[in-house]
This record gives sequence, C-alpha cells and structure tokens, in this order.
Amino acid sequence: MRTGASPRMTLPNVGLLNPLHGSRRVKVWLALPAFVFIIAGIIYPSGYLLYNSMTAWSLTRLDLGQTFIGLDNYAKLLADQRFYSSLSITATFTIATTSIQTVLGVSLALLLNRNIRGEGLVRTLLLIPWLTAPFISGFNFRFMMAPNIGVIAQVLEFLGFDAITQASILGSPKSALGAIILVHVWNGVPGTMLVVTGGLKTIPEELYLAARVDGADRWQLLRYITLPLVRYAVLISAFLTTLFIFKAFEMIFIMTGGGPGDSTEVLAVYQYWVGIRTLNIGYGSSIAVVQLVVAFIVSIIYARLMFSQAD
Amino acid sequence: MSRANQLLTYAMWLFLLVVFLFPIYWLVVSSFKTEGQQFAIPPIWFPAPATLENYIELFSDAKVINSLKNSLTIAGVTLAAVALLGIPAAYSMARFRVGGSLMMLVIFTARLLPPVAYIIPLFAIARGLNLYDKHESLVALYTFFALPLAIWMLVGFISAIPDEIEDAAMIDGASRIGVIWHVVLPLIRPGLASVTIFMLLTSWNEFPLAVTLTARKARTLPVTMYTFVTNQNIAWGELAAAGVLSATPIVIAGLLVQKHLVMGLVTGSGK
Repeated sequence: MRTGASPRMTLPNVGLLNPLHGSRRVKVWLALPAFVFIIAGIIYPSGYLLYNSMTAWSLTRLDLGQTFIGLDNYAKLLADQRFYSSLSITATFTIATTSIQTVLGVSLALLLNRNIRGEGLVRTLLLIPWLTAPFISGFNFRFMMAPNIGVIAQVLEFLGFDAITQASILGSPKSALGAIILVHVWNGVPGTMLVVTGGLKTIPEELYLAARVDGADRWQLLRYITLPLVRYAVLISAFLTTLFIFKAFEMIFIMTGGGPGDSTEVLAVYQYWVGIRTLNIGYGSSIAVVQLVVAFIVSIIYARLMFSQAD
Repeated sequence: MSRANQLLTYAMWLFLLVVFLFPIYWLVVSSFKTEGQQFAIPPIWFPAPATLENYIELFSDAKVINSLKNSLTIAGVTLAAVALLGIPAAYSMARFRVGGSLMMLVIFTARLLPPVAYIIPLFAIARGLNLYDKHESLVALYTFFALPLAIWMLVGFISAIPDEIEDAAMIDGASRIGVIWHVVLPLIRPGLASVTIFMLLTSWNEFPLAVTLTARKARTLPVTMYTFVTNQNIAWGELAAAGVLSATPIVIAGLLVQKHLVMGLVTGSGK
C-alpha cells in the first residue's frame, strides 16, 4: 500500500511534525486504549470461562461456593448423552444449513447476474430478510408456524398436507429441526448471494466474449469460466456461514427453545440452559469451552484463508 | 437474450421475491390487524380497514417506552465509545503500522468469537461485580464486540487517503489530533456512515447478551419483545408492530449502504 518512492522524500525535515519521524509515543498512545480494551476483553472472560469450567459452582447452591475440581466437568461431559445429542444436532444443523444456503445463494447470484433491467432492484429487495434482525424473524416464524391456525399450516392444509398441519411444524421432533434449518437459510441466503455477486462482478467480460468466439455454450461458460473464478468467493461465504450458523442461538431460542424434547438443542442452547437457566455455572462453562474451541479453530482457518488471499 | 428467455427470468424472479418476502409482508400486515384477525380461518391476506391499535397499545406501554429509551441510549453511547477508541487506533494502524499484522490478526479473530459462548462467564462477572441489569455492562460488551469490525473497516478507509494531504496540513502546523479531526475524518465521511450503521446493527439487534444480562431496569427492546411471548397470552399484533418498528430503521439504513455490506460481512476481504 505504502511504497518507498514517494514525494515524502522531498519534504523538509520538520522533526516531530513529519509523519515519517513522528513521535513514537504519540503513535502508540493513539492505538493503546483500543488494543488494551480488545486484548483484555478477550483474555479476561476467556480465562474466567476456562477457570469456571474446572470448578463446581452452582448459583442455586451458594452455600457450597466455588470449588476447584480439575477436569471433572469434562469427564462428566464425555458421559453426558444430552451433550452428544446436542453435538450431533449442531453438526447436522450447521452442515445442512451451510450446504443449502451456499447452493441456493450461488444459484440466486447467477440467476441475478443477467444484465437485464430490474436486476439491481430484485437484488436489493432480496436483502430485506437478511437485514431483518434474527430475533424478529424468530418471533415472526413462530407466529406463522403456529399449529393449525398459523398461516403456513393453513397454506399446507390447502395444498393437501394435512398430516404435517395437525402434528404442528415446530411441535414435532421430526419437522422442528428442518423448519429451523429452512428459517436460517431464508435469513442467510442474501448474504451468500451478496458475497458471490461481488465475486461475479470481478470476472472480466472479455473472457466470456473470447470463449463465445471459440464456440463455448452457456454450460461451458458456467463450468469453465464462472464457477472456477468465483470459487474463492464461494469458499469465503461458506466459511462465514459455518461460523454464523455454528453460533446461531436466538432464532432457535425463540422458536423452539431447543425443543420439542431436545430435538433442536444445539450447543449454544444447551450451554445457555445449563449455565443460565439452571445456574450450573461450572458445568455450563465446560460446554461453552467446547463451543469456543471449535469456533476458534474454524476462525483461524478462515482468517488464514483471508490473509493469504490479501497478500 | 430471447424474449421468451427474458420472460422466464422475470417469472423466476417474481417467484423468488414472493417466497423470500412473504414472511416480511406477513409481519407488516399482522401489525395492522386486530387480535381477533390474527388467526382467522381463512387467513386475512390484507386487513381492510387496517387498525393502528397495536401501535397505539405499544406506545402507551411504559415498559416498551423504557426499553426503547434503553436501546437508543445503549446504541448511542456504544457508537461514541467505538468512535473514541476505534478512530485513533485505526489511524495509528493504517499510518504507522502500530501493532503490525499480529494485531490485525487478533482483531480479525476477535470479531469472529461467538458472543454466545461468553454468556456464562459474563453473567457470572456481572453478578459478582454488581453489573447485572446495568446499561454500562451492555455498552462495554457491545463496544468490545463492535470495535474489531470498526477498526478493520476504518483501517481500510484511512489507508486509501494519500499521505501527502496530511503532510501538507502538518507542515502548516496542525497537530496529529488536528489532522485526524480536520483532514482525515471529513475525507472518510462515506466510510464513517457505513461503519456507523454496522455499529448500530450490532447493538440495536443484539439479543443473547441482553436477555442474559438485563432485567427490569436496563432491558432493551428485543428483550422486552421476548417478554411478550413468555406470557400465557401472546400479543401477536403488538409483537409484530414492535418488530416492524425495530426493523424498519435498520433495513433502510442497510439498503442505503449496500455497497459496503459485503465488506462488513467478510470483514475487509475487498481490501
């Protein structure tokens, strides 16, 4: 970004006033408060979380206080069926949502990349679900999916799917997770579309012209030019989706609260349940640590991907 | 493109718009229905005449007004805090490489940390330090979660300004702070607008931390809306009206800064 040869070389030496020789102290002081805030903000709660996860500490039994128990909570996790169940639900939920959203988002981006009138308007309108806060959409879908009398149940009944209507979409373990996945896809697809569209816009028109001159048909253009060139944008958005969906909480919390039974109880909801609702801080913390470690690994891979591309 | 092909494309677009926008449409029309109309069979697709009773009800509810005030205050103070911490830091990082690429990586990773995983320790800290149900706690947390993105975006905007402009101002005797205030900030005004919107998005829409860390006093709008649902009798119309009120400014603002959305989303990949 900053290159060595620039008109700066001809500036008179004005000491502290010259940005090249500016006081080191000033430079550092400008950044220090934010750096301290960010680093302290990472270390303090993370360290406290880690420590709590190695203690027995329940706020419903304040008389027992907080006692250090080493890795006992983690040993307990390994034997906790509900933990395994939430791990597997989180995996299903994350993989299904990310795949559907990515395929759909790429398709929409391609479908809206035609250079015909109205394209920009349609793309703008499609952003609205994405810009609507998840907690609002959570309420809204819970309302629309109300058993029997909700608008979706009525439409399904009209179309002849009585069985689903009567069992209720969010009230049945079979359909609840599917509904949760679809709602997250609905909410996230515009984001994928946006990132992939950004990638599509960087492909030079000449490539297509040249290929057409060589007699390529539309599928060949898609297969050999478009898809390889948006691969990076698709990869970025898939990673982002994975990260977002892995930590998704509020729409599930509002729509089903993890139920019915524990059929939609992802890790984020389970740790909330244990730590905040039943106030078992120690055990809840160990679940949160697992969640954080997984998120951290995915984040590092993503960060490396971004940084390697930026160089 | 042939005419038939073009028509087919438009038909597909229309289908997409109907599928994607129907839930939004339903939210809006529900906010203009009476409680009796909400679950009518068959559904009322368009309420005529539309009622404003949900909105009137909402604005006469002291809890709603209070949480609206809380949300506005917390979002405003967070924005100020992010500006105060973020602008000098971003300037220093962009101009002098203070912190180097390591700090850029830390900031990038901090942005990706899931706030949900911190609910339990933050809850315990807030209780221990008597910070539960306090506006300050949410401001501090939202500042923390918003700051990395703000810095990241600002570094990009500031790097794009040629050094020579600042050099000239400094030879004329301006101080470093003076340069930031009188030269840099006016030049990145469009960028500042989109950073502002992202910051507002973070605090205005935040739910998990707010629901965990606030009770009666500092409750924000999303949490108050959640309390509508936990009652036996759910006031859907009012809930829809609150949703429309809460979402409208954000949706409009988001559409205004559309071209920066991708950057905010991938946190600066376009740089």
